[in-house]
Amino acid sequence: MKPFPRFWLVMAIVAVVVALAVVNHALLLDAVSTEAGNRAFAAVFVVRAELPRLAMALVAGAALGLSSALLQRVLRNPLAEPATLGLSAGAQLAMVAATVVLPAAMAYPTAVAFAGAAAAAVLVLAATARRRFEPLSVILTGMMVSLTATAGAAAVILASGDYMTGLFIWGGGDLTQDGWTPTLRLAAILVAAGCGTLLALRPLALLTLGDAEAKAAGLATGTLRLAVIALAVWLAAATTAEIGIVGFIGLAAPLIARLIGVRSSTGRLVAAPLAGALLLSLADGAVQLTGHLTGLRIPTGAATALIGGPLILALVPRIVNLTRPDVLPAAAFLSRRPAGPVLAALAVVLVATVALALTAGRGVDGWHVDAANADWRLARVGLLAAAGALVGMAGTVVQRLTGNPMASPEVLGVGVGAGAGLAAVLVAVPVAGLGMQAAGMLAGAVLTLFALLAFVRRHGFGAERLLIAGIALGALLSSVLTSVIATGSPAGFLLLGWVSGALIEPSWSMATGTAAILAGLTPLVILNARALAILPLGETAARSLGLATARTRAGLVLIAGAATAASTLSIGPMSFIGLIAPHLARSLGLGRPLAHLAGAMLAGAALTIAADWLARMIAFPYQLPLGLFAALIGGGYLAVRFARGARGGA
Amino acid sequence: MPADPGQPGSAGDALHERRSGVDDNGPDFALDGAGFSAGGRPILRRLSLRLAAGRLHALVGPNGSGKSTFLKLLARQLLPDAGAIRLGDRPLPDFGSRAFAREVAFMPQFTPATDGMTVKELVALGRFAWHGALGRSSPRDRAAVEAAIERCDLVAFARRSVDELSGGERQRAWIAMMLAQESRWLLLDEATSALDVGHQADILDLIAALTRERGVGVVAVLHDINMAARVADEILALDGGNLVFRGDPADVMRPEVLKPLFGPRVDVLPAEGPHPALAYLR
Repeated sequence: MKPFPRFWLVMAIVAVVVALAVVNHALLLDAVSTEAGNRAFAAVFVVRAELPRLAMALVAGAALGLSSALLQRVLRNPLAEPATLGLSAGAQLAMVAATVVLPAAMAYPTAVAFAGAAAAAVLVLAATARRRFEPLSVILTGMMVSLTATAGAAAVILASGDYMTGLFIWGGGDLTQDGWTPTLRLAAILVAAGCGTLLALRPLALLTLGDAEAKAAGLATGTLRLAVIALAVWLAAATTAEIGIVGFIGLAAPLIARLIGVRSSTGRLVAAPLAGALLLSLADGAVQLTGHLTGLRIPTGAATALIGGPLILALVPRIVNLTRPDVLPAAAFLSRRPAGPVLAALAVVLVATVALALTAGRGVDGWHVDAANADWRLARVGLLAAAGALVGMAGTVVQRLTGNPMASPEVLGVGVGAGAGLAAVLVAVPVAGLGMQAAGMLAGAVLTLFALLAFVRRHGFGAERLLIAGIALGALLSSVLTSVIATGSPAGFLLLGWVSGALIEPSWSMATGTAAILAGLTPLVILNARALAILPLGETAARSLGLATARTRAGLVLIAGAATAASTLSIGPMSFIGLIAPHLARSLGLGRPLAHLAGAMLAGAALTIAADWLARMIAFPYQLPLGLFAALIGGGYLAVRFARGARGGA
Repeated sequence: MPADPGQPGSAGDALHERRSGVDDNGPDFALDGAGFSAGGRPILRRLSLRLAAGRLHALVGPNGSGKSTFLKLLARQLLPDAGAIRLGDRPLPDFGSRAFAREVAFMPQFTPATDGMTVKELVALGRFAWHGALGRSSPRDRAAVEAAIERCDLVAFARRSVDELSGGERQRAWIAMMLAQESRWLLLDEATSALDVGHQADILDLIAALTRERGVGVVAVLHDINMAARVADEILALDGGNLVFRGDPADVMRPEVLKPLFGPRVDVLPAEGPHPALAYLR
């Protein structure tokens, strides 16, 4: 990579930042002085709001840059940063939950955020330890944790009433300041973390060689790694506590450091925070200018995602070594069982779940089991079963076609695409009916799927690139969602419900429609059974065996995308079930493609119905969002996986 | 990547052609100025040569000499950015995916994880090139799978999971899969370098036997020059992306050939009676 003339590039960015600040200042002064006609007030405003905001952008950007540079170094993962690892979302969930449940704890926001971010980090790292923190698996798990935490936060906000939507605006990354305290607090943490980084510089340089070499050179790699990750998590948590989720700054900063020609790894650790500071102030300046000119209040975090999504897409062709084929075989071993009895058992579980959902319920006088309400519950349960089976199918197909057990339908970006389509419809036509909403979601999902296919086609449908491009696309679209939700309009509130997975009112027509889609897609997957057996062996082996991999993958992506779109239309983005159902089927010993598929579909249906039943029962008479329970089940699953992984050893 | 023709008749036609015995040894590989570079650096400089069917070619050379790239070009895993490669009289890009797999099987250096697949299931995947995604598995397919398992001494392991096997057994399972593929060329990229000397010799002897029994052409990247001299019909030495030597094993086992390749400390103990010539480090 040829370095840019770095001095001039940096100078140009600085010039733009300064220019933006000056223009914003002029516009602000204009607005304030015509309204109040008071120059003294304007002066106060500049000192207590405008300057702190600029300072906050610089400090927070630097903190994110440093945090990411540390994470990328220690995990040897070019895509690691607080947002992609789910740290920011974890911090956000912790703060939202604390605000609602335990307001007293919010006297120490950084501590609460740290608890959440650390929990997310532990979850992600523990779940991927057996794959030796393979970069792609870490990112996929991070994305799942992030989606789940976001759905959880949305659910908590929804459950506590609409006056809490402000929390979501903050979650979108808002740099508005009303004093110097938060900036100074974050600056102090940044300085402390900077000192910690300086102490760790030399051991970190050793770590670049690889674990075994660093250990041989007398380094306690485990301790060092833990300490550095803790430092990075602390920085990320503190930043999230002050300004909410601001993604991609961390991704871009180390990259820019490399682009402007900082070669040494130590140099990059210094350059990344500087680049982060400049980038965030640039983005925030642009957001403020947009606000002044159009009156739109876009959260800065949404704007950075808007920049960051394309950035990852641009990087896709250059990304290499995200998987480590040579270290996996021993770790990924799972035994097999005869398919018949296992499938029969799963079917029994599904039938029992259906029976439970149809008959058991809570009334004003406590629990009761009777078939009186079964009739009008049938449509709901049928819809959930069909949608759950679709999610299980999509998950199996995606995991097999990418050969990655950590992949899930979400990586296709289709779910978020449907959400973006819904957002577009709601913004354009606030009174849109259910039909129009469904049409918008469908259009969004289809457009996203084709964008993904068109993009990946140029790179031969490699599994890694498909995953990365899907993640980038998803992040890009979810920033659109966040922006609309953050407007606080009725459309935003509706979207918030959708994000948290609140079920659209089920009807017979929806249930039969979804079941018809399920019936139509299943034979298509079955026709691809042999391809689904071969593709997990990877690109090289599949091509050597004579499989037309590009065409086959494209076809399977379409099938999985259609299944995801159909389920998203009816039950919202069910983050975890598409990941868990195939896993569950596989760990029950179903290894052959068709048995695996059937098992995942049964498990997906049962899990979805169970999650919905729990969501209706736990806080009776209030109905909690389905997504929250899918999230709880998912988080629990990852935790159990961690426990078993720890016992089994790496 | 060209589309698979996918005509129902194509598998049967090829089978028929092969059974008729007209073209017993299959088509030759022909490279016509084929080169490959990555990031502006040439990995393989324009090579023009022919590889005859039915012979075992060993590819040797120091690290970074372009051996693996050469093999991947033959396997169509990489496309040359200069020149062309033909198999018989057809350029490689003209083959459909399955048609090509019926001619050429490729075994990578690292075999992927198989997620609990049994040996028999893995070997049966080799038949994909013949029956395709939808075609029924014919008695002939099943016979080919059985024969491949037997030939590789895996009958006792047929129902075991591939992941449970030892390194040597697993390697044999993958070779059995290539056998079941019944292609006329086998390309092996250091397929034995993770094994101990005894298992290496077993596998290579098996491959050498296959070239004799079935007229299968083999191109194998081998690290161990002594092992290469032991089994190969012909040795090709690459250095810095150039073909620097090509000839009989006996001709390569000379200090003046090996020293430029592997450094001045390499020397050769000449053949004496039953002992073959041996390369060693001084």
